[in-house]
Amino acid sequence: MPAMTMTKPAKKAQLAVFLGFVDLISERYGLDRDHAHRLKLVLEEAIVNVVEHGYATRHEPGDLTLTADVEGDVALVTLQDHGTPFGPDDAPPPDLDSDWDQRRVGGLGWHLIRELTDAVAYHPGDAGGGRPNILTLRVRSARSHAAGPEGAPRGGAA
Amino acid sequence: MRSFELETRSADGAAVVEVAGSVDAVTAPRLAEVLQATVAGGEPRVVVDLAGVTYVSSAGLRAILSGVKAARTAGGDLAVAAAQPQVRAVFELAGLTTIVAFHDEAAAAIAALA
Repeated sequence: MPAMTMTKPAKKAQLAVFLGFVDLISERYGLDRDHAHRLKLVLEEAIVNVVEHGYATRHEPGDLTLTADVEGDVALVTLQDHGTPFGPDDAPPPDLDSDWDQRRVGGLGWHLIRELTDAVAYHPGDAGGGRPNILTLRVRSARSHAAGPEGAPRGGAA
Repeated sequence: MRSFELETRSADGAAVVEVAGSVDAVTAPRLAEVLQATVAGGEPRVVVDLAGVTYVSSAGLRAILSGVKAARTAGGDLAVAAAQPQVRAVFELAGLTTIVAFHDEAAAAIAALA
């Protein structure tokens, strides 16, 4: 089955379209409920990151291309954009421990991505030139993720 | 088709916000607005009933956290009720179950806030 792909302008008005596409991925590949849930959460956080950070300073945002392929219990998804690079190392560390009145919410998206993937690879582009930012995420089903991937540390960068 | 529904009712001195569907980056701002408006409208004791919620992302977590801060700042509190396991798991991953009370049913959350 060929990979699914979609390209749309990376702006808030398109968020519902992107998230709808994520639902379609799970339906098309027949992912089990837990796998579909993990994939949806990881992809939403990554898509929102591009929309809210990658193109935040642009008057007219560029495109975001989403590609997804599933083989066995592994979903491999790629996001490509031409916005300002904003990868896992650019996000603030998540605040998981502060009291309620001090609790910050920045960085939670990347935290969830790290927790729910077993490999994250980010290759920054040249911020509007010809070379895109490329984020690749590897999402296993919950059962195999819990067991641990073979040969790759959980949460490690590829 | 993405579904999202919100309904607010009063019960024993608390406002119960019943949420259904997907609380994602598109829908969460609406939940945040309702929680803020509920507290600002003089009901600082809030129960968010998630029984009908199948999915929550970090945007939804932010909406709940902002509601907690608003409620406690106003002298009340916000509790979550009836979260499905996969929804509660997202709160746990984000460390929010340490600062927000979770109850199995809305009635228990209402009683706890009384």
